[in-house]
Amino acid sequence: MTTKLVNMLLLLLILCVGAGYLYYSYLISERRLGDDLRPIYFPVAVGAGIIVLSAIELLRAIRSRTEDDLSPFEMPNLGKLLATIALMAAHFLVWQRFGLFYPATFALFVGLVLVYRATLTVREIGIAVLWSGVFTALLYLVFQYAFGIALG
Amino acid sequence: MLEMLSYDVSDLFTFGSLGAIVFGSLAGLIIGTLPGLGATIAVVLLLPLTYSMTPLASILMLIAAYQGSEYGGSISSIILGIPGTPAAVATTIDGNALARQDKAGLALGYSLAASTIGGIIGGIVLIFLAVPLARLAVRFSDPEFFLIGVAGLIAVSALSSRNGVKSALSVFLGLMVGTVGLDAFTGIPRYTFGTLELLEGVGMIALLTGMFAFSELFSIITRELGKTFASGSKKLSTGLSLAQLRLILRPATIGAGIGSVVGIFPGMGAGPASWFAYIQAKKSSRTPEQFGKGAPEGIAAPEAANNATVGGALVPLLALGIPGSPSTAIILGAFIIHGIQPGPNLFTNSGDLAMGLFYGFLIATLVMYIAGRLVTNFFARTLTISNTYLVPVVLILSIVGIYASKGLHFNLWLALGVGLLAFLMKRLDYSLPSFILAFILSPIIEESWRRTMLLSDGSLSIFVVRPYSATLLVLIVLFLLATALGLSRARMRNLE
Repeated sequence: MTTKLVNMLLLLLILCVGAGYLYYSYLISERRLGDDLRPIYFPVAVGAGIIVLSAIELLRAIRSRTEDDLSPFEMPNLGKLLATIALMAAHFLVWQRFGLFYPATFALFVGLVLVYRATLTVREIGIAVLWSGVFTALLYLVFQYAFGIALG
Repeated sequence: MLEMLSYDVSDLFTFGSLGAIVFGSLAGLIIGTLPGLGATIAVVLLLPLTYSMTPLASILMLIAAYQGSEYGGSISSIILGIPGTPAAVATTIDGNALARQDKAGLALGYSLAASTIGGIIGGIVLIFLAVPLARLAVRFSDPEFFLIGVAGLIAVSALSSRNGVKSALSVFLGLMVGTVGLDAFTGIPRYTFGTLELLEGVGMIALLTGMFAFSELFSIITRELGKTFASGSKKLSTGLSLAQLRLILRPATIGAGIGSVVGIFPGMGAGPASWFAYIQAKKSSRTPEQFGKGAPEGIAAPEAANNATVGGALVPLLALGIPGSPSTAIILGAFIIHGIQPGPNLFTNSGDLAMGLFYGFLIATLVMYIAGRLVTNFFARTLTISNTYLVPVVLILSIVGIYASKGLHFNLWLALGVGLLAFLMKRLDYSLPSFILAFILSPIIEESWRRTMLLSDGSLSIFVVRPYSATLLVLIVLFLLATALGLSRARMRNLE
């Protein structure tokens, strides 16, 4: 996938968001509330601005033949990035559903370190577990104990 | 200025306030030292600690971290040739050249002394500009605030990205996100899609953390995850002789002057300021041929400039309630957490706090100098921390910061989504500072616009008949003309 294509896809997404925003503004105006204070004038102007600017940039992107735009959109370590996002999502879910912030954080730290290491040995796993334990304990001491911020 | 003399400094010299300044300085230094993490992340990571602190201590801690990280950025620039922050890129040229001559300690000494001079001059500018500007702003009404908001948006979109259309698009997207939540006039929920968590609007801390911390971490994962930077230098004494100090006094003063002024303008920040200062120092140097080979002026000017922007950036925040940079936007969040609204009335409603911040700013600069002298050697070793461990630490601290701001899990998901989008937008040259400033200014602009239209019965002439708004309008037009002229000149040069 080229940089140009990714750029165009994002611009199309922004264009759709702008159109959806304008449509939602229209729905608000249908309710005819606060007529004198016009709760949709500003959003309509903003939505129109988004559509116009993204259309201009989209046209420019379509016509562009620069080396930068035609180069492949590289994303090294994509697998590691996706694994990070998945681990973050799992952490949020466990915390949200079960309130287990500290155990989930311990697991997240270990998980991330293991994902990021190029090689995995028993020693490295042990070090990751140790550092994760120290870090989680520090978090508990600072936030829960010293500052009284309840995290879970 | 009389208020400053009557301020009871005992509020400032408490364990809590001084401890916060020292802690903020050290944290800022260490975070700024780490390549990829800058002032914004330093301030984001410290934000959750502010909830249980006094307003003065918490804001001083964030300001100290902001200052400290600007100097900290020069440590990796000088030792490794890798700028810790975008603002330290200019420092790399001569700083790293001097370090390669086995004079890394001397280069850091120049950087630290210049950063301190910059911080103090920035602080003086803050003290002497914020109060008169706030006094003037007390006379402002809705038409003026609307125009100030618009001027801020124009400045940030014109100055903060290579691609003008994408920068403007970032502004409009920020304005759009800023309209989410209950309409302040009619109480109508707008763009919330039935989500209760969005009734108060999109959480600013979640948005900022997602946009700056998460997206930066995602960039590190995709670019330099395997990197462990190695600090080979051992001679890191940062002391300077009087003659060496005299050598950098002039370029540091030039840099500080440039940084203070540039810092006031929204969206420009420390990066451009340090380059302007570097170029100016080279132009005015008696030995310009030494630049690039380890010239002390080439280190002092940009370093003084990036620290001076901190004081400059706080001027519009304290006097008008408008942050000029992402870091000051987070500091605005700390004000709001404590129920304080910065702006023209800050000096009358919370005068002691404002005076405490002025004095505290200068103390924070001195603490940064002392901390820099004592711990630069130790912090240089943090450069050897592997990103494999650094990314999880910063990520988890960011998560804690988001949750602690409102206690909502919803904001974690929001920040994750924003982080991914911001990561992509940054890669494609959209302007994140423009987005954030527009998001913060959105309610100010909309509400002042609607009130203005109510006052004038829908007539636009109100902007021309009021002297203050007419002056602002003229300034905006002049700025637009100057920008257009600059662009056309650049285009002509390119064609040539």
